[in-house]
Amino acid sequence: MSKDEIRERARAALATALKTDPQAISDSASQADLSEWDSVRHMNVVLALENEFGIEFADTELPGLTSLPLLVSAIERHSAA
Amino acid sequence: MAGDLTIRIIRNYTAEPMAEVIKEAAQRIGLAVQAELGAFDNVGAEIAALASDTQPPPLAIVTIDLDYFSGGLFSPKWSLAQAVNAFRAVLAAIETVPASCFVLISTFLPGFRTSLPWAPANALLGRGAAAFELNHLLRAFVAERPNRCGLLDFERIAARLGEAATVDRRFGLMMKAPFRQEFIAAAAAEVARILRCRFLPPRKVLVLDCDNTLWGGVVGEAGAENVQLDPYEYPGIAYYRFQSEVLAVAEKGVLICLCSKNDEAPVWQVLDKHPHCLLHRNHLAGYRINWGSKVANLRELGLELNLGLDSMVFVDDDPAECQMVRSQLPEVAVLQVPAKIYEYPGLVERSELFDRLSVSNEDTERVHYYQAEKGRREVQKLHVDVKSFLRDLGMKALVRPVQPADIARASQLCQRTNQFNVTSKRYTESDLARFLKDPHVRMFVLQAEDRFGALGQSGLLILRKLPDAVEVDTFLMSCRIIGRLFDQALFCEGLRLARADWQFDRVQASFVPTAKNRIVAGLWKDYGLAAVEADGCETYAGLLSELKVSFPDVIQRADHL
Repeated sequence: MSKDEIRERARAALATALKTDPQAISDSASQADLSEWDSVRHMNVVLALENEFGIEFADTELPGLTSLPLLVSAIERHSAA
Repeated sequence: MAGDLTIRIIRNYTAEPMAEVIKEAAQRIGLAVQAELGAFDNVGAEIAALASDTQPPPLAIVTIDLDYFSGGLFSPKWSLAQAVNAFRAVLAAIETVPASCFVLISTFLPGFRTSLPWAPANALLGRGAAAFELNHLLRAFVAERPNRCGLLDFERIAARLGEAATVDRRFGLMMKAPFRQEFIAAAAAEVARILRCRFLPPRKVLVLDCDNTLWGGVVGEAGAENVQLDPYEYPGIAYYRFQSEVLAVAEKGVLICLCSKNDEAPVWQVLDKHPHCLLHRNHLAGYRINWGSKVANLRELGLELNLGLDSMVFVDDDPAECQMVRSQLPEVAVLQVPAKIYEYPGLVERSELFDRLSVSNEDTERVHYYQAEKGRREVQKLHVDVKSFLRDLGMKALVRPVQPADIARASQLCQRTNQFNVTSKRYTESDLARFLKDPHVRMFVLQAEDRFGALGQSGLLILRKLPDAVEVDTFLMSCRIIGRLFDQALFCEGLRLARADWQFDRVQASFVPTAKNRIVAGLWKDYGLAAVEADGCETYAGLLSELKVSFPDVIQRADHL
């Protein structure tokens, strides 16, 4: 799976979890830019991405998954393992 | 029903995900819901705020996670006695919430595991026993307040879904969000069921096919004695259980009808004679047993019972018949007998179509009214003119002020009556309980009877005192007595009784058109009221002395019925 492919699938899952339009999520989108992405919705984001990629993030990773690029690298780490 | 409904959620854990899913579940049944979340972990103060709210929301949910309740389940200072006291205080506070706000309270989840699995709940120690103790208190509390409180039974949902789909250990500890998405979806679906009962019109009729629906096999071919209905054999037991479910539904006041392609005689042979047939002829409010189209037959049954197709649920085993009804009568809810017949018992229950908030005495009696109605129609055939027909019915009417015991039925009339209903205001029991105490409101109920039997409480008149007149807030008649002049009896007698308390010589009324109440479009003109200018709704007014309506001479005034 290429990085681009991961990013697109992650973007779509993120948009669904935040109930927003994928086009509203830029390549560098972060919790700071997206008002929908609050701490409660962060649970939905985590669950949606775990479902989408069939992975489970480590508890220590969760607070750090605060942007699309950070999500993508975490997914890469898990998919490689 | 349009317009946003508000639900207040009072909680001591992260219930935001649940609030969102409740909104979506409500949307799926056509209700727009706003979910307001109370401040985090401030249950006592939030309930107090709800209690002093002058315009409380129609529904509140109080949901408490034991882990964080009463100082926290895992604190060394935690004690069962203290938790019980704290929960009693919560219930006492809920008691003070205005009756117009229905309060759903979630049950506590007992631990899925214990090292004493053989000990009865009340013999468990401290923490292990807490959920059982508190649920016991809660169930007793709710049972005493059927029209004000209900259970949101997390315990039952967890039993259905199992531990893995219920408990979110990760977000439980990290975010105080203890439930998995599956559990949240199931809990939201239960809330939607309550919303449907409270805010949407109910289904009232269950129409059943016969062969391979009420029993296994084709009676016309096998003979009545050979149909499969024996509770000691399979598959007979599946049909037997289904019939028992049908009777349980009938006891909630749902009318049962048959619609079958058959000759009548063999069907009656099963219903009257088969030793295991639970459903009998006297359970039926109507039937169409013939070789005609089921679509036409269902339409006719609707007309005969005076009920809309949207109040019907139809059960048939034949996919083609089901499809035909679905496509030609989309208002009718269709349930198909499952191919795996062991899945059949519980079909109606699982459909949730006959959920009810509560059941009144009228409900259990309903089928008798409809059977008497058939007798009346026979008499009608003998009379050429209406007046002599009506006189021959020997009608009696008792109009009396609504009393607390009448509230459940009166609210049911408000919720269900679609045709003879001038304003179609859907008052709940708590609304009516409030009116009862309001000095500017008078409510009268009509109790009717004729020579075929009691017609029950079948009309409601709500009057409101204005400075210069009396306004008809609500005027409705159950469809089973429309066209019998009972409306005139209720209206005239209600006004007469109101004049004992109030001074007025002018009456004001309105007609709010809906898709179903054309029958009363001209009522106020017929009664002698004149249309007046008003924005938005059709308003009529007139002096008492100008009314063209009087207590009908074909109806006898009764002192008691």
